[in-house]
Formats: sequence, structure tokens, C-alpha cells
Amino acid sequence: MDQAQIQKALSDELGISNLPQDKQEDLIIRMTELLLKRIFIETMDKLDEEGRDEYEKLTEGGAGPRQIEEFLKSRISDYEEMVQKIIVNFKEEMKNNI
Amino acid sequence: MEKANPKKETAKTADEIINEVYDKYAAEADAKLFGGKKMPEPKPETAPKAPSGVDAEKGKPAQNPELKEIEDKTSLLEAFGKINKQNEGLKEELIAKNNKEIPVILSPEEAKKRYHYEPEPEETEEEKLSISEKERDERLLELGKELEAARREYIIRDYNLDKNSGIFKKLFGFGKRSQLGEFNREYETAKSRYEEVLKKFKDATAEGLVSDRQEAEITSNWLEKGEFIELQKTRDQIKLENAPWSQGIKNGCMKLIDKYRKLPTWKKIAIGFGVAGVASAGGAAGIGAAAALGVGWRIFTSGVSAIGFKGMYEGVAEGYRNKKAKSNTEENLNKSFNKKSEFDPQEFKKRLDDKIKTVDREIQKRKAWGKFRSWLAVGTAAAVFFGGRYVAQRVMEHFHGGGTGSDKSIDDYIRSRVAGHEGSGGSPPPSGAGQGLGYHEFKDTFGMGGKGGAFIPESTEFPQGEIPPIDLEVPKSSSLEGTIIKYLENQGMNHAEAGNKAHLIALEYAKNMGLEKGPYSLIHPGAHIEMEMGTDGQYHIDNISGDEKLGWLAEKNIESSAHDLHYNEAEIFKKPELELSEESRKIMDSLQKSAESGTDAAAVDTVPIPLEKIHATAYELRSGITNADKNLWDSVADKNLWDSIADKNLWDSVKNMTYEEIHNQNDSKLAGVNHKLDEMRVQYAEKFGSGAEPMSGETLAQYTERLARLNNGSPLQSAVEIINSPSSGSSIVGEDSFPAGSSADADFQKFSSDAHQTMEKFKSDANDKLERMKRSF
Repeated sequence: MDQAQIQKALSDELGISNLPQDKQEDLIIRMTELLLKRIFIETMDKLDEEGRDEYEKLTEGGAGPRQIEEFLKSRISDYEEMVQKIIVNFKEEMKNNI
Repeated sequence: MEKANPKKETAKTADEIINEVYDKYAAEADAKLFGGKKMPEPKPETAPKAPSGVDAEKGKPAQNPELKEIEDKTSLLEAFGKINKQNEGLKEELIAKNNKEIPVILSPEEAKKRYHYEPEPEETEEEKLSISEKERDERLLELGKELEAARREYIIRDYNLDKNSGIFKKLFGFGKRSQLGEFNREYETAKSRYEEVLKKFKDATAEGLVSDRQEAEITSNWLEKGEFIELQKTRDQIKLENAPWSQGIKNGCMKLIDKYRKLPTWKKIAIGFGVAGVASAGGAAGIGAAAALGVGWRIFTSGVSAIGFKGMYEGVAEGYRNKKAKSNTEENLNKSFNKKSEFDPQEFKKRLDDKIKTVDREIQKRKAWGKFRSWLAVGTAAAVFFGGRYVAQRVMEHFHGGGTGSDKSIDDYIRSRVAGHEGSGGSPPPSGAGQGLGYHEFKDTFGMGGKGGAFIPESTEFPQGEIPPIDLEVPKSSSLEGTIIKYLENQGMNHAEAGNKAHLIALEYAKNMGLEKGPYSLIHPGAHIEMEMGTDGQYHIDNISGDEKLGWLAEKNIESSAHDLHYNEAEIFKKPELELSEESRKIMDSLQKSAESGTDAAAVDTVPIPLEKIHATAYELRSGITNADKNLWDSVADKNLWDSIADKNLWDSVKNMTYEEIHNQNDSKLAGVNHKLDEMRVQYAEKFGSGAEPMSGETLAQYTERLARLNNGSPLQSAVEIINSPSSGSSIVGEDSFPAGSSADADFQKFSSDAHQTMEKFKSDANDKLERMKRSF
């Protein structure tokens, strides 16, 4: 599936493909911001205090993305599935409510 | 050209500085525009357009072919633009020198004045914003800010109300939003304010912006969707701000979001597709999620520049540009076409109003779903596991209590108890414990696997087969109960049963809400009744919304038959005030305090039952006996625990929790309840076997009721036996706690006597009822 197809699939799925392109884009940008923040919040929620301290130290110390990802995977069981669930639930929420 | 004012020696005015700037750069401009010659001095009344190419020295038309180029007004404007850019540098210099802000960039008016040149408008009139449009835009901007503030206030109040509701429920056993007085009023005020500003914003958007029906549809759709997203964004922001995390974590999140915001549009969209789109394309699970995750987290961790998705971005960017060009064309075509169609602005506004109403309702519904899902997760997952939890606790007590516990011994013990595990030789686990629960899951669940995992998995999926919250809209010519009856009938219930259930649901709502007049008899079409099905298998009204004139019909309008069917609930629920002397109150308070603060379960057992309890018991019993079996069983169930809980509110706060949920509460007030529960469980299990174990999803009220049935064979029989038992009434009261001859003792005697009399009457009523029922079978 190429990017154009992904774009169309997402717009269709979110029920916004009937809007003009600029409005679709506006909504997608706003939704993405919301989703990114939600992933962050729920991930931090899953970490215990010690985990959050460690995460903070890692980011302050300039740890790279891979290092951070490895850290999160080691501290949160089924981390990727968790994020996948957040994304799927988020889309459901958007589909059902907007 | 104008010269600087010679009278001013110091502190040059802005105008003087501008003149200096122009003097300095005029030569340069002349050079660029007129081939190195000075710009000709125009005649006072001439040249509304570009300089005419008059030879400054001879006053004749210029022959220099270069001058003809200046007729190209575009070039001239570009030249002005360049001059203005150059002026920027000087501006800073002059500001530094004169220490004041000055306008250096020429406005069209200034250009006209200085060069006697009338530039053509850069844009056509149609493209330019009219004054009214500008005003509208400014108004929209202003309203947008106002809306943002109102939205935030609304969400904060909503958040606080939710939080306080939870606290109140835990502490006092009640916590419906509408019961939270000031908190609820603040919320309602903020909500009204938000809706009011949203409406203003919507109206301002509609005015002048939409010119046809299709555009109206698009705008309303976009506004509605956008507002929903903004509400959710604000909600998440408040959640982030209130999270018990370090400021570093919170700031980190905001910085990363800022990074996202500062990206070019196409890149932001690409990330959106990367995060959500890839997951969409990849299905519910799989590699797509990891890719999406990667994009998301890379933003959070190192900024977009470090993302190795250049190829993807480029592809998306190209697609974006192509689509945008195509879309603009289509949009323009649509606009032309739609100009012929009729447009009704009033209808558009109305539709927007409806959509605005929907936004908030959807938000609340969404929250209800979220709560319901969490609650179900607790109700199902916890109940499945809690038999195991019991075993685990016993294991821990057994080994740790003796000071010889070890992981290995615990392991061995668990292995022997978990069903289905290879080599298990022990007895089957209690009901529910082994359902799909393997050894490793069991260990992990109870934090014995080294992961320290939470006991209750936070499921976000709606369990299959469960019933979601129900939102019923009251139709025309219907009532509160009528709407519920209709719904229940549609679920397959017969009319009589639906009528009875609907009435009980309405009564319970009235009770929870403290409605002394009983359930609302006046409700209007369009109102929404939000219900949920509890773990008790019964529907409960969670909220009634969308009817500002919700209330009661005048007495004469109420059909008497409705009241004849059921006991007057208001009378039952209104418990008479208990008047106590100061001395009594002190004793009561002291007893209550020691019961509440005591972490030692045994101490709770010794606390005498307060007078309020006798008082409450009498009324609960009366309520139960008079109001058919359901309420009767509430009383009976309560009674099983009243012996251990000196506070009726405490029971109210735990009776809808599952056994395991109570175990997981880190609340000293529940220590006694936990202790008694365990004792009761063991006692009944010994007597009746595994059938007496708590079941999956069973609340404490249901569990204790079931035990009562199990113990006595028939619910009513059980109730009557308990009421008639010698332990009822006086024997449960700690008579010795009240010094003889004191006013407290007098209070006790009085209320004890009242309670006994009341209970005697109820015993008689209960026995009569039992006899009648026996005869009817």
C-alpha cells in the first residue's frame, strides 16, 4: 500500500474524505497532535515512578530514539501492542464521534 | 523630495529618520531604476501611474530605452521591495542610534507621496479582504481565544467533578455528579459558558463565510469535528497537568508537541499518516503498529530531524502537493456551481446548534464508555482472578507469617493449586480462579513474577457480549418510565415486567439523587436518559440530560394508580433525624473514629454498634419488607456485614465492589471489611464447598445475598430468620459503652426501645408476608 492509498484509507476510515483537502489536513494535523500526546500520557502512565525517572534521565542525557524505544519495551510488557491499541482505540473514538 | 526638518537639532523624529533613509537610498534606487541617473522630479499633478520617463534635465520625453523598462510596474514594485529590505538593516541601526522604534518599510501611501507614483493594487479587489471581512476575522480570532478559555474552564470543572465524585464515593458512599453541590454548580456554569461561547463562535463563522448549502455542510462538519478534537486535546492536557509526574516529564511532553507544531504542514500530515495511517493499513495488529510507533516515539525523543523516514516524507509530500492542487480546482468548481443553489442561513445555524449540542453529549457518552470499560475490566478480569488472589494471600500469610517464606516454596504451593498446570496435584482452585489462568499469568498477576505488574489489566477493549451504556431519547408523549419501558420491551421483556423494572429503575434514581418528590414525572421530548447495566444485571440510570424543565407534574395530574402499585418510596427513604445529646455524640464520634482509623481488624470487632446503626437498621428492614424482595435482600445482604462494619456508609461504599476489588483497596477503613470478608468466605466455603466462593463479576451485595440464600434455602425465609434471631436488635448493641445514668445512656435507651418496637413490628410483618407467600405457592 503506497502513501496515497494510506492517505485515502485513513481519510475514508475517519469519515473525513468528504471534506475539502485543506479541512481534511487541518483535522488530521489536530488529530495527530492529540494522538501523539495520548501515546505519551498513556506510556508514562504505564511506567512506575522509577521508570519515569529513568526515562527522564535518558531523554535529558540525549539518548537516541532507539535507546528510548528499547527502554520502554523493557519496562512495559507488550509495549508495541499497547501503542497499537491506543492508536486503534483512538481511531475508533474519532470514527464514532466526529 | 522632502528634507529633514532643520529646526530639530537633536532627537530626530521618525519622519526625519525616514527622510534620511530615503535620501540615502534614493540614489541607489535611481541607479537601479533609471540606469544610474537620478530619478526625475515629477510634475506636481502628474503621473498617477509609473514614472513617465521624463528626462529630468531637459523636460522632454526620455529617449533612453532603459527607461521604458520602468513601465513594467511589476519591476518597479519589486525594486521598492528590495529597497524596503535594505531599509530593514538601516532601521535597526537607526533604532540603536536613536533608541526608538520607527517605521521604515514604505506603505503604499508613503510610496505614492514620495515618488508621486500610483502603484496598481497587488491583488484584485475580489481577492482583497473587505473591511467587514477583516472585522469578522478579528472577531473570530477574539472569539477563538474566548472559546479556548471557556473550553479549558469547562474541562477543568468536569475533571474536578469526576475526581471529587470518585473521592466522595469512596469516603461517603455517594458521589453522583448532581449530588456534589458546589462542584456540580461550578461545572454547570462552566459548561453553559462554554456552550454560549461556542455558539457565538459558530455564528460568527457562519456569517459571511458560507455562501451555499454545500459549503454550509462542510463548514458545520468541520467545526463539529474540530471542536470534538479540541475538547479531547484540552482534556488530555488537563490530565497531563494533573498527573503525579515530575515537571520534567510534563515539560518534555509539551516540548515534543511544540516540535510537532513547528513542522511544515506536509510533514505534520506525513507523521499523521505515519502514526495512524500505517496502523490503519496494517490492520488491527502487526508490523504497521511498530512503524507507527517508531514515528511517534522518534518525535518524542529526538526530534523530527533524526527520523529516518525521509523517503516516506518525500512520497507523502509529493502526493500532498498533487492532491492539494487538484482539490483547489475541484473546490473552485464546486463554489461556482453552488452559487446557483439556494442557501438558508437560518437552517444552517440551526444545524450547527444541533451539532454543538451533540459534541458535549458525545464527549460525556465517550467518558461513560471509558468508565464502563474500566469498570467491566475490573468486574470481569478481577473476578476471574480473585479466587486465585485469595489463595495467593493465604500462601503469603502461610509462608511469610512463619518467617520462612521463599520464592521456591511459594512457587511450589501455587503450582499445586493452579488448575491445569503440569504436575498440579492439589485441589481445584476456587470458582473462577483457574479460568484461563495459567501458572505464569497467575504469578505475574500477583506480582510474583518479578514484573510487579498491576493486578487488574487495564483493558481498553469492550468485552464481547457486554452491554454498552444506553442513551435513550425521550420521544413525544412519553415519560421517564414510559421511555424505559419501551426500551425494555424492545429487549424482549413483557409489558408487566418492563413496567415493574422501569419503576424500580426510576425509584432508585430518585433515591440516589435525593429527590424527595420521587422520580421525575415531567420530562420533555428530546431529553436523554443515560443508563448502564450493572454487574447486578440490572439497569441503572446514570444521568438525565437535555431537559432544562425536568421536574414533576402537578399532583392532580399524577395518576393515583401509579402510586398504588408501589409503596411510597419518599417516606421510606427519608430517615427521621436522630437527635443526640452532646455526650452521646462524643461517644459516638469516638467510637466511630476508632473504628475508621483502626487497621487492626480485631479492634473493629469490639466496637459497639452505634445508635445510628440501629436506627438505620430499622428503616432498612422496614424498607426491605415493605418494598418486595429486591430491597429486602439488600437489607439481608447488608446484615451479613453490619456486624463488622460500624458505619452504614462504609457498606454503601463497598457493596457494589467485587471481592477482589476490596482486597486491592489501600484504605485502612477497609481493613476490617477485608478481615470479615475473608472469615465469612472461609466459613461458608467450609460449610457449603466451592459453591460458596465468590463468582466472576459478582458484587459484594450479590455475593452476600447469595450466601444468605445458600444458608437459609429461601430468600424470605433467610430474612425472617435473621430478623427473628436473638442476635437481632439488642444483642448487637454495645450497651456497656454508655455510662449508666448519663444522657448518652438515656439516648441509647430511648432509641433502643424505639428500635426494638419498630423491629418487633417488622418481624411480625415479615412473618405475615412469609406465610402469605407460602400459601400462594
